[in-house]
Amino acid sequence: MAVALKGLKGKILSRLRLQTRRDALWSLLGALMGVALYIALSPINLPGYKLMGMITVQFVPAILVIPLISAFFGPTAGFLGGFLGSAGADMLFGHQIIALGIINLGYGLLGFLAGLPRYKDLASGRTLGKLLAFTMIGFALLVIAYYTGLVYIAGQNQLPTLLYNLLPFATTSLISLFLATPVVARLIRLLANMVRANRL
Amino acid sequence: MANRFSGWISRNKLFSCFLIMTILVANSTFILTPSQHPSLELPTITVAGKGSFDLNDYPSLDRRVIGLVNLFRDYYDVTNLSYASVNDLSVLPPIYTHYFLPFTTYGIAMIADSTPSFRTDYYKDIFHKLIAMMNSSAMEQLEWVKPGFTNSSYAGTGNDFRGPTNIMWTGHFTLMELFYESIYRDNTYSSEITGYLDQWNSSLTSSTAWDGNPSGDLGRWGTGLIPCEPYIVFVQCNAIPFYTMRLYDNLHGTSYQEASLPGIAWWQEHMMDPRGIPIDGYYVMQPLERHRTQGGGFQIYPGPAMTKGLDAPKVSAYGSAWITMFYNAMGMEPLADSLYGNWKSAFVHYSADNTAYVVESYYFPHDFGASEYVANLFAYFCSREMGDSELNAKLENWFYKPFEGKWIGDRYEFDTSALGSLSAFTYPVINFAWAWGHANSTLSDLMTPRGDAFFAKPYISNQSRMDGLYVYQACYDEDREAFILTVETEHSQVLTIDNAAGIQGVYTSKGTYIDWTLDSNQLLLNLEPGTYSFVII
Repeated sequence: MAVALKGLKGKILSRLRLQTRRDALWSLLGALMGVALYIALSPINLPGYKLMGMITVQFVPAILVIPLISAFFGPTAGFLGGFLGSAGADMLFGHQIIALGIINLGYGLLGFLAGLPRYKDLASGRTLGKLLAFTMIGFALLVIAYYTGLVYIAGQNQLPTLLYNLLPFATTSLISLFLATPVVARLIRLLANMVRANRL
Repeated sequence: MANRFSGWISRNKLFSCFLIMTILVANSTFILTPSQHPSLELPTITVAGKGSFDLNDYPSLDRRVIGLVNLFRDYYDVTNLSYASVNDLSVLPPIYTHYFLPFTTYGIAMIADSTPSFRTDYYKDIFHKLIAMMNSSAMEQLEWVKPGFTNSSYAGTGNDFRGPTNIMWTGHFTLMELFYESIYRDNTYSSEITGYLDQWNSSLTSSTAWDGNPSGDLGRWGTGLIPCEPYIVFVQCNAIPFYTMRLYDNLHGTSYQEASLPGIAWWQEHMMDPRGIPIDGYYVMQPLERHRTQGGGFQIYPGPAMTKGLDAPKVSAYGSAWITMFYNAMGMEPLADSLYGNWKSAFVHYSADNTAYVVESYYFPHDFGASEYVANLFAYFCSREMGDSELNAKLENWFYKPFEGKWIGDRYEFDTSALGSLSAFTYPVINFAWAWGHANSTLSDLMTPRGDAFFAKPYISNQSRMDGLYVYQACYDEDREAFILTVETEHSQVLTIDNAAGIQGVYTSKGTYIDWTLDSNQLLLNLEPGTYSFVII
């Protein structure tokens, strides 16, 4: 029993990329990178337009950081990067931490889910597809956290939450995450390969 | 080469597919996002013997505000003062209709006051049309007949729609006219203005109450306030005549405002709820049947209006935002600051993505309807009036998130059509609110009218409906005796400036501008399409 538990613990720590001190340090480094990049990219406001009234078509660079950090550094880095990055950006840029931070937790869950699988080869379509699938599951959790936080914890009415918060947030986030996550992950891998091959 | 490329594509199908989609969507965001004109850059202009003029030191209007005024020009068909047109209230929101006309006028007053030396029919027409609509039979029906207020509703209390029992209509109507008089120094409406001021003064200083009993110094209603609905006084509705009295006193050196002092002291003593919020109404007589039932059995009289179904005074974020900004503009900053602090802690909720919204009643924080929508509108105005730019930005982020602002010709517009039938309410509200929220003047600024001498100085006089002219700055600097002007024109035109007899030169940041002539008292400034900043000495 003890052996089995130890084995399970080892598997969990391995999946969380915390099994060895080296893994843990890499996760911490990834989390710090995630927090710094999320905060740095938060103020960027790219052009966007409304489609059919309220669906906003716009790329939000900051949210892309979360699955990418997860893809390269694992779920712990993704979770901390998303949770602390979004909370740090909220505090730094004068936004309020609302709904007891559950929305920030949602960003953390996005990072956690996106980082759960091991992505051995981010050059292959299969691996990119897996990253995209887990990112979308994480995004669904983020949307649930966002809605739950605003309606059930902050006590907002459902209609304005939908029109004024959720629709603009979810559409911009979905477009950014769904389209750009595999593209940027692959580009980073290409870049890394070129660096390794001393071609840059 | 082609084979290598096609081979790479076939090995990277998913990546290629998503890359193409990303490029297409990203490209669309740049192409389809409605183009906005770049922000106005105002220069420093140096004039020999006068020194440097940094035009950023003078008020200026955002191009979008002018575009929204152009929208109002067409939306309200402002030059059409026919009976049919002024009685056509269908362009106004179907609810809060009677409030919308005066508050739109106050927004226009702030816009006009932002370019005080642009005094043409262009803005004047809007004042005249909105005042005429407020004075129309259709509005009278809406205000008097449609709510079912009959002669018996007011039995014995002074029964007249335009009389002393309707401070909401008379207060707004008089202030609409007085803003026009103050900004244009035009006496068109002066007899109506003084008529209502005298009526309020008489009502507030009467030592006999409506029931024949002595009322001390609290006037006919025993509260120092005047009702607007039968038998009930509101602090917010009385803020309008009280502001009007002060503005009139500032213009004419009278002392009407003294009649407001007992009422202001009275409501602070009798109409404050435990959280320091002015109570939304106080019954001076037995309420009408339908008002009695609103209190859910708790309503007493005389006494504060009660929250439906609760043994608690009624509160309103909308009404108290209105009170706060008007009392701030009346120069009662300590009172306004205190009210604003209480109001923020009671009604403001911070939300995700740097937004904030208010609830109409803190007893019902989950409600959302027309009252809450209007509460957010007034919260937006109030935060601006109180100089709270942080909250103002969060409220604007929330309020305007679903709507797209775009240019259509010379008009700017927020499209609310996605809301379907709700658009009849949101379209005029959203568009006028942005213009009010971005004017370069406030209710406090309007409380200090310019002196008579200002109106003898140069001003743009006759560009009444010249499409394609955007007057960003038009202000005479009396201290430095210089006319500050920034305009954009889409067509060649001659700009006429009156009171120009002493003009000696027109200067730009590049030096002297020579394309002008002086014709007696008028300066004719020839402009080709483009944007110009001038200092005219």
